[in-house]
Amino acid sequence: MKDHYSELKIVHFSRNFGQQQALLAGIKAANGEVLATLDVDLQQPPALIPSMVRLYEKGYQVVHAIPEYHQSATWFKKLTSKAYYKFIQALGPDQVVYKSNDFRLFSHPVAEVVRSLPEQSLYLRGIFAWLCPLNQRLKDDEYNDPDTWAATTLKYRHQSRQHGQTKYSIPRMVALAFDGMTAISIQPLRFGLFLGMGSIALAMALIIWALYMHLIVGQTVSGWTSIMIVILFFSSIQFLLMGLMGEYLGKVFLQVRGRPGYITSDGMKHGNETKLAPKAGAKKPRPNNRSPGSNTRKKEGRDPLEIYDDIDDKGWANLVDVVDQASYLDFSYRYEDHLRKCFYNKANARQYVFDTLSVGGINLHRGSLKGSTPEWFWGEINANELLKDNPDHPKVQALGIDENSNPVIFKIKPLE
Amino acid sequence: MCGLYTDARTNRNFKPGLISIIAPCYNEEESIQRFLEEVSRVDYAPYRNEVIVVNDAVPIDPELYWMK
Repeated sequence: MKDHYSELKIVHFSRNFGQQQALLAGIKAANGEVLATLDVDLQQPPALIPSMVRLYEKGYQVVHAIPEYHQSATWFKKLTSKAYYKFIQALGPDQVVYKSNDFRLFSHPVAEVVRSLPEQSLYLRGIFAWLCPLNQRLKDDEYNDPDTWAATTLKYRHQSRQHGQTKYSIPRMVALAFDGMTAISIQPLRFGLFLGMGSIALAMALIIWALYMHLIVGQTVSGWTSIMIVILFFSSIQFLLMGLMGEYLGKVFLQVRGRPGYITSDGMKHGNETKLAPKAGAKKPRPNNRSPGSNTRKKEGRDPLEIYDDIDDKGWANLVDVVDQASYLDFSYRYEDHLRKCFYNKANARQYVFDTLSVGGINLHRGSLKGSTPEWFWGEINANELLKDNPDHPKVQALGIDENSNPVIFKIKPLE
Repeated sequence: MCGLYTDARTNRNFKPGLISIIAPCYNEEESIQRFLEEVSRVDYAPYRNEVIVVNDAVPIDPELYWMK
């Protein structure tokens, strides 16, 4: 199968670990800019992915595809899922997200956080709802500021099953449902506390009634009043204490779950610093790219052209491949037409400003929406032109050192 | 931070312009071929795509389900 599809990667589990774990393994194995998860049974149409990507381009970090059920779903399934989602809604803040059946698209910073979460009992719907709340204020065509992570939804027609039987048996569905209920919040534990308070109130009322019957009416069997009072008092105290214990257990659960205290827009988790210190230089995807003019390269005496692993026939390489560790915003010349189109389309509503700067073999494009802060940069670099004058291209090399003291060939700063 | 794309430093090896399509599968021999055909038929331009299939192995003993 791999021969047919060059872009295919397969991860084999040694035994059955469940769908949620499989999703996580897939997320860990992926290295795309955008990630999409879906089932192989084609009930979730892959053709929807491009329109989800359009929403990502509008600045949404997570796009949930919400199924609209066909007639073919059985009434039982419809009823149970409806009841379940009603219940889930009562527990947590972000409702619609739980209707998502793990068909979603998300950006790489979100994926980076998901990869590093220490949770054992996985319920990805809950995790995504927690990471990225729905933004309901924005209209469809509005641009979302990507620094504020927001999710959006997209409805699709859930296809009827084409092959085989559903692999989710009823016990498995129930297991997932329970995982969902217990993983997203500690509300079920808090139930004990409410029960305790309610039972205390009830017990007080009953005690007063029993005393009234005993003292005023005087028609009680001897011993009844005292037994009533003892039973009511202690049972309600027990409920209350159980509720309190539940409250502490909930706190322990939240602590053990180990979710970070906060997450910054670039996908860095915090509140767990030891684990999350950026591993400077620990794993560089393309170490050759990083310091093309540095001493190590010169010692090795390799062809400087080697660093541009993505050169086209005219000698234009994507800045992405040339610049590593710089805070650039990448979009290659390959996408330029697309970008121009999508920005110019918006120009009716808001004016889009677009210009190109060419300096010695480097093309830098800048774009922004008038009246909005974000600026986009992307660019390309002409390797041949740079190398023509000087094979060591000192121009580019001279541009400095970044915060982690890695040599930077080309660094673009955001405009103030 | 500016714009559409977040800081690359914090993220390891993500490839710009690449869509990763992740599909967990469990005992789905019949449908996986069709799925791959369907996925490769979609036009993702200007993005490239990769497909990651996670084979959640079929248990030898069904009891193992519950032993997570």
